[in-house]
Amino acid sequence: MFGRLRNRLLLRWLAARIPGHRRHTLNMQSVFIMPTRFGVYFFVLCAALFILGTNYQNNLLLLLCYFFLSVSLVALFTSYQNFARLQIQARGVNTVYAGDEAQFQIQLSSHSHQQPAGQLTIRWWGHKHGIVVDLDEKADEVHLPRATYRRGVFPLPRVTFSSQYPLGLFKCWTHLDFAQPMTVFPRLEPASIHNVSYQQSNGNGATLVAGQEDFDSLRAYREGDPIARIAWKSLARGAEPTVKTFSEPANFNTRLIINPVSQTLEKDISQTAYLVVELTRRQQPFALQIGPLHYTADTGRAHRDKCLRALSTIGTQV
Amino acid sequence: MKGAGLPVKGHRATLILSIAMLVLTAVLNQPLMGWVMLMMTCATVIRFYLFRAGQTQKLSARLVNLLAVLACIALAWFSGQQGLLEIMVNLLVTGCALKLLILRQSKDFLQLTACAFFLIGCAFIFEQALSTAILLSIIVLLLLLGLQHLFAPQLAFKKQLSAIVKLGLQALPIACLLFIVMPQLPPLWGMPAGKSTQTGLSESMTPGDIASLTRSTERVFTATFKGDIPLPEQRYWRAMVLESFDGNTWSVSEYRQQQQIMAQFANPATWSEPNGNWDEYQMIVEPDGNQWLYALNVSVPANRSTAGKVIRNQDYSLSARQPVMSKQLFDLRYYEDAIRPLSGTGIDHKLNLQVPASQKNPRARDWARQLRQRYNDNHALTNAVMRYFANQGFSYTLTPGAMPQHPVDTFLFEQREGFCAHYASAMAYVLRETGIPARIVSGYQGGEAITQNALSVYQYDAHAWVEAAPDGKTWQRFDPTSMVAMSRLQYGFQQAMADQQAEVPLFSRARARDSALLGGLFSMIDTVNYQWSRWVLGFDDERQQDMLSGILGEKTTTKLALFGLAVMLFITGLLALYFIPKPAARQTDEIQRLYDSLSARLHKLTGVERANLSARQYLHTVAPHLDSQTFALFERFTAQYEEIRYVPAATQRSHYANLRSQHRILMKKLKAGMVGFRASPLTDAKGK
Repeated sequence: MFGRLRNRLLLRWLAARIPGHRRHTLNMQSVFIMPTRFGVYFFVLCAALFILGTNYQNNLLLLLCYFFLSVSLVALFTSYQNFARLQIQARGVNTVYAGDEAQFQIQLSSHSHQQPAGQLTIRWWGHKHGIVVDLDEKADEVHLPRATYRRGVFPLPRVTFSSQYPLGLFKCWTHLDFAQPMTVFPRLEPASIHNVSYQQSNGNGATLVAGQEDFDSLRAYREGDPIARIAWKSLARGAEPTVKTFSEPANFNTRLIINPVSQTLEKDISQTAYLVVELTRRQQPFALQIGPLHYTADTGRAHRDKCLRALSTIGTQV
Repeated sequence: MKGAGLPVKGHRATLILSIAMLVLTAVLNQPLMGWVMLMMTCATVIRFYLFRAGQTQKLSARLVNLLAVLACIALAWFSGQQGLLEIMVNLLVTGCALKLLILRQSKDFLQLTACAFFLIGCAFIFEQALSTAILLSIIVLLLLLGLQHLFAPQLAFKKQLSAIVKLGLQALPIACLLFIVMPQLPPLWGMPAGKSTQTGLSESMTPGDIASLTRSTERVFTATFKGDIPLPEQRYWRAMVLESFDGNTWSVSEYRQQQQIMAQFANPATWSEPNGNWDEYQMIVEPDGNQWLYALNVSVPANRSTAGKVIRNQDYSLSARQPVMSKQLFDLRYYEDAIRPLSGTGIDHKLNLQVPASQKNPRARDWARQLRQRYNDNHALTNAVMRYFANQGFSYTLTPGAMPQHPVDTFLFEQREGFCAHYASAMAYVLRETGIPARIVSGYQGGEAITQNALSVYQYDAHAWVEAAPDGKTWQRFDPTSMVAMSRLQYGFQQAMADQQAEVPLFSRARARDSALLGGLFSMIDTVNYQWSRWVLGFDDERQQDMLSGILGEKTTTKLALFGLAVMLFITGLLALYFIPKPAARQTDEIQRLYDSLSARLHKLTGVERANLSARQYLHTVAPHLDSQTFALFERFTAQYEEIRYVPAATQRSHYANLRSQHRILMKKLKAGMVGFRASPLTDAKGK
């Protein structure tokens, strides 16, 4: 309860301090720096050396103590300087189906002529574990995996970057918001095309079976025609490229319908998503109707993604 | 990072740490026991093997725990022989060795490094020579390198090294400044002392034993005088006064020991100053874990800081409040001619007329009674005893026969061979039997000049002599040894012992007198070490105050505050110097620089940015804004630029010169002003 409140307040504060951007250049405003646990022990060690040196009246011990203090002071600046050289740019998130792991692509570079060094830990806001990237290895793009559970379009949470270079005495970190949406398509649930579709088709009889099987005629190839339909045999004989057409009466389109107030909405969505993917794979045009919303029949990847996005946002505000 | 397992094979950070630990163990050899060092060596060897071969079989925790238990038992077993400090260091090193065996996580690594840092501090307690300090600094750098390696494992080794050296060099001036300005506090509380090394003087002296201490070439202290070095005959460094005699052994009387404990709590302000001329000198005392100090005649602390560290005993000797565990500096003032009266309470008489109750040394007692009858005057009697040593065929040797029974009798009437302890013991006993208060003072006599006004005293300068009060009122010094070995007194131990040189080991300091080269080398090392001791090890609050008052003049709160501020500002300035981002290095590519300066200028005048356009594209983009003449010039320049850029054969000097001259003309033209330029409407819009 208290933790959640604190989290909320912290996020609000961060939103004002480090607003979301695709590209971040780290500076005083966005970098936080604190001693690590080892750093605290190191200061305790310095205190112990001071006491030892004073009690034995040993100047070398005192000198050592002051040297360690100075080292930590210099290390404080070095670690900040090293960290602030980072320039971080979001490269986007690939879309996945719920339950799969999405990859957030981040590009790391330096805005100074010197490269940052050391290991960089990258993790999601609030997560304990993340990935460790060695900045000395030339890895331009980093993939930060994110597990997905539900369909929908989510804003990506802040990403925490932290580094303890050079001596592990201080930890520099920042929480960046990349203002990236992450679209999670519905989980796919295999459904029989025949059964489900018949139930969902709007009474238009044999809507679904049409089109694919009945060979009609050949026509000349036009740009944008699916490759699978090219008549390879005739092409091999040296003829002009032609495309097989199938009998597809215009009103014979498959129509997938979802009732947003259905009792089994999630299941319907998952099954419809499966059908969307399956029909696209078969290059069979289909239309999608979600309540009053209507997507006209089409085929192709763009149509598929449009439909899947529509499915994934059912019942959410976006 | 936390809790993350570390790779075993080829993990360089661990290897660096292991090597640093091994070297540190070697440096710490003085307090460490042999088997502890062996354990660390084994751990390092195992680590090295793991680095090469990788982990073949995990070391079971049970085995390591068993080892730990065994090590603890062994440590407890040997603890009787060692001081608390040594045991602690041994324990820490043992723990580190075991931890090194099971180092698996970065947490372990950090713990070990912190322990090593602490051990380096401990090493400074035992050894403070310049060479050791340099060696330990290298270990510190190694440890830092290991740490950095842990957090940047893929960074090239050269870069690692340069980063760490840079870090160290940046930290050093700040550390030195802190060392100079941070207040030097007095000890906060007593610390466990190590087992004192038994090479020096001891609190009891049995003349019948064989001398071994005179062979040691260890330095005891160095004294730097404000004025001239005192004459050899005056260099009697009093350390302890032995007043209790049981027939064989002289020792510090229990009464004095009690007094010394009491004096620890006394207020130094109540001391009275002796009269007479005085000279100041500064002692740099080598650590030996003892409390006694070395003082000429009557010496008193010369300043507040030394007064805080020193106890003045009633027998005119000085002791340190704390055992001297590290090189320490004492500023003293000695009164050359001050008389030393016996205490008014009669305690001195009582202590120094005490003779053993047992029937020991009967012949010496009889002889004393004869002397008493012959000489009424105490002075005459004392002189007679001194003369006896001179005339009766006595000789000085470092290897006299043992005298277990009646040592004084045996020495005086049979062997007549011995060193200072024998002479002093015999004389003091005889004087006591005649009723003259007498006691033995042990300390050092002589010393070797290392600079014009500094001299070092070594263990072989140890000496014992007699203080007696023939007049019953003041102590006077008698050195019976001088009656037989005057040369020892005048030229020091080395000269006097020239005939016994054969027994001195090669390359020792004592041998160095034979070879000019070796002697020069030793004296150079001596000088360097002396300056090191004086300025680094001997820096204390008094010197700090001197320095501050030298800078500030009279100290006021405002001045101090300003000084503190200045120090802070200085440190801040240093850090700013290190870390303010420097402008990127000038481009080395000359033609690119020429082109960039031109395009920047054009951008400023016309508002057309080059951005990602190629040179040719930019020429066309900017063309509408230029008059025909400028355009022609720029076109030629661009053509030349492209030629140098893209035609490999064109990279000749003449082309460069051509480009440069064109650049110059064009720049001049552009500088001439806005004539002929049409500012684009786009620019105006952007400008707002």
